[in-house]
Amino acid sequence: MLKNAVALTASLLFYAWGGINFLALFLGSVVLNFYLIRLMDAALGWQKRIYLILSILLNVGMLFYFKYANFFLENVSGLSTALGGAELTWEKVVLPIGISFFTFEKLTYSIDVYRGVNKPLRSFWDFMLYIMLFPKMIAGPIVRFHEIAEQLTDRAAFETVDHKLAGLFRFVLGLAKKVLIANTLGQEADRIFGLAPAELSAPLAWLGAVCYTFQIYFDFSGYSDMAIGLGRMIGFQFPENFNNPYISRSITEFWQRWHITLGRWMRDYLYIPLGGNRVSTGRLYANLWTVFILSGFWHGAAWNFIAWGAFHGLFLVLDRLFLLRLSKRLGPLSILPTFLITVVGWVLFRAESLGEAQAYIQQMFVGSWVALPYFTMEFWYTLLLATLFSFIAAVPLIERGQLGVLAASSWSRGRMLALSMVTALLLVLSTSYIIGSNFNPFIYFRF
Amino acid sequence: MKIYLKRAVLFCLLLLLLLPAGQAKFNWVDTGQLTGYYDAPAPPPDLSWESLWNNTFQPALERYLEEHIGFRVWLIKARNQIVYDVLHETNDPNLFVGPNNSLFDSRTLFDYVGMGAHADSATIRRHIHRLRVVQDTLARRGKLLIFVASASKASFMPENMPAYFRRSGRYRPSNYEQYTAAMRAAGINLLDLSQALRSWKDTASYPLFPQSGGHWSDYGAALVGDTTMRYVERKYGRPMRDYRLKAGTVGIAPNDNDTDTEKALNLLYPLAPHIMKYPQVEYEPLKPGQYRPSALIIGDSFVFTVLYSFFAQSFDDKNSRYWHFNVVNRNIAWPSELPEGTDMSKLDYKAQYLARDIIMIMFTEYNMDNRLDYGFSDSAYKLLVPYTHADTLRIQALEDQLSRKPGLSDYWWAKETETGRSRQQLIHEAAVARYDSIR
Repeated sequence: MLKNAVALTASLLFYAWGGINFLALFLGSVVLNFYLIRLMDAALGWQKRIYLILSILLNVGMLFYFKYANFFLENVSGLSTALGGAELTWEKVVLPIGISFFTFEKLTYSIDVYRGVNKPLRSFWDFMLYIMLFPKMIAGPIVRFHEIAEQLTDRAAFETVDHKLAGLFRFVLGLAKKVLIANTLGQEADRIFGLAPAELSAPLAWLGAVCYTFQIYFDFSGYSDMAIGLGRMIGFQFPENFNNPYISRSITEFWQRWHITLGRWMRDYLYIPLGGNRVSTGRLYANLWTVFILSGFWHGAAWNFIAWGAFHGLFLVLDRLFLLRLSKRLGPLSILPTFLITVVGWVLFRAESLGEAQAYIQQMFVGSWVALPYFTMEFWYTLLLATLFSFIAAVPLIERGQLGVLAASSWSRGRMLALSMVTALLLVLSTSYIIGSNFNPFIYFRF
Repeated sequence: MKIYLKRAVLFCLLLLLLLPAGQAKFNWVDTGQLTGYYDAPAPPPDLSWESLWNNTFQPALERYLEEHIGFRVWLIKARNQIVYDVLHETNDPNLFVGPNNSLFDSRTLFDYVGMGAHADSATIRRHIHRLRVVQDTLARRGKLLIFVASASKASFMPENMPAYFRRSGRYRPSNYEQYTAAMRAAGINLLDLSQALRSWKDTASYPLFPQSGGHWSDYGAALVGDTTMRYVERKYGRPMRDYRLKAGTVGIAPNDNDTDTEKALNLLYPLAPHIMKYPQVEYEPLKPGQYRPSALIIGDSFVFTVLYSFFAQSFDDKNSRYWHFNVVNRNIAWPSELPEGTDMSKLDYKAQYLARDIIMIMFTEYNMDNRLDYGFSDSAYKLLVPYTHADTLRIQALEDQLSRKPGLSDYWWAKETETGRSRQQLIHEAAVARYDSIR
């Protein structure tokens, strides 16, 4: 009870720190959801359904208003001026931080209770803690209600010194991934993506795209590690969000390893309600594509995100048509083409607009082949390390070892001391990099 | 037992997390100061409901805490030291490390290999033409104009440049090479110290450039100062004050000038020093028949290395001036107190140019970009060289062109309203400005 109160207070302060002006709105939506779902649980038949629809409309409506209103108005205005009409003017809607993540969590609560997977929480404060729990509130992992329901009321089994140590190791590991790798590569990615197409040679364009590919992975997975680590330190077990995505042998596999909690959410609450695999082949492909276009749109209200979703959706369909058979024949070699597909995809994701992405991709494939400009050795070594850490798990033994270390809940003395030393070293190193540099953006904070 | 050990480890790690906060609060250890240029630490932000609400307090407090975290100096230096020792690089994008711990400012490297700001041939021609006309105009009034090209470290020791620059080769001749060739051809009074330093390099008994500094060493400065004063005396045509170069000391105690670049690195421990020579200059009292002309020196930071040891002694220290110009500075660096004030925007430039016996322009190779002398030749040309009849006719033609140009009527109307001046006057000024940029 007291621990939950402390965690909730910390979470409220954490949210208020970044978005105090949205706190009231956010709390209001939590209160409304809580009571709507209680009413839904008490209701029967069509009334139950009505409450569910109301809850979904409330949450999705909020998300649409804050995240997509500007996008729709911009496009309507653009269309209007293209047809000779007047340009629309409106006051831009500001995006509350973390809205994409906590909207999905509120939806899982409603739907899980509706489906009877879990009973609704009795305490309003426990519900608020589930939505607001600070380690995962801003950028995930997206914790589905049924994954954490029991821990909200009893997590004695996880409040051991081993879990706390494991949590601290994980937190520092995430910090190091973010600070030592993602930031170093991100600076160069920003520099390269900031160049005009005429200044961009093909090798430089590829280098920028690869830098961003590693930046987004080490940035986002680093944040997830920190969230999972912090969660473990306070007794919560959050689901894993990444599993070496760049060793995937197909885009289908990539989505089983990348942003796993989003993939599962999309599967359970969108793909399966659309019919899942139990539909005609044509419908299946259409559903897959729809889900991935929506996933792209969830990441950002811009055409390039939609194109990124469509791009991945296309490869998922192609996987089912013939690519999976081809990659099976290629074996481990199929890691390379899969990686290259994701690299091109990340350009769509990183660019400021669809036009910019198109120009950039064009340079990657038809740009001039001139020598690269100067880059520091620190950059090259970081890129090398990023490559090594991204692909080393392609060796099955290493992948098993990694999972063993990350999932361990009990430590031998020797292993504990070794990990403690590594943790202390990474902590000092990461802190010195944070202090010595002012480049520390978290990519997924904006979604 | 095992559980106690685990708790102890956890406690130690959490303590490590909290240690910087304790140091910030209680300042247990003196961690020293950072050196070189860095942004001044942010002041503590003001907490108000408004700053909290509009989210300006939060990032300001984060920045404040980051800049006042305990052990900040050690943490920064530790990172720099790791990067330096492991990768032989610096954490400053403008500083590079070559073989033998030779430190280079990025501008000197990029300029030398031809990747810096390029001065095109039309710009070079225009600058040289103006400089020559200014030199002749001043000469008619009994005044001397001298251009001194200072050596940059990269052109002096290209063999010590970082591997990337040695491998890349030279893309094109540097601006310095093009400017000095054009100056020689145009008969401008040029003292090419860069060439002189390179010619002394093989026979010099001590380093002329320190490994860890960006400017020439005291020994190099003594040779440069001596050469410059001899050249000035010869061109001035009258005897100037005598001086003697004394051997001075030899040692491994580097002075500020020897390590000015190293200081910016903020390493945990200093780089190995080299044996350097520190000669001394001793001036004789002014004898009858000798002159201390007044001089206006316009140049970059290399001037400082010889300013007090030579220029302030040879030139009339009451009536001479040193204007320090570079990418960030544009100020009067010497003397500190002046009757005309130290605000450069309020100076009567024409009077300043004409008040001195000698005008010495002294820029280092990498500062000789498309501005050549940071605006001196443009300004002096405009102020000292009156328009000829042909010039006036060309300005009139430009005025006609501007007043007839379609689509500009609204622009002139807006300008008239904004400034309260007549259209004719505005068009005349625009024509003059355009003509001055191509004259």
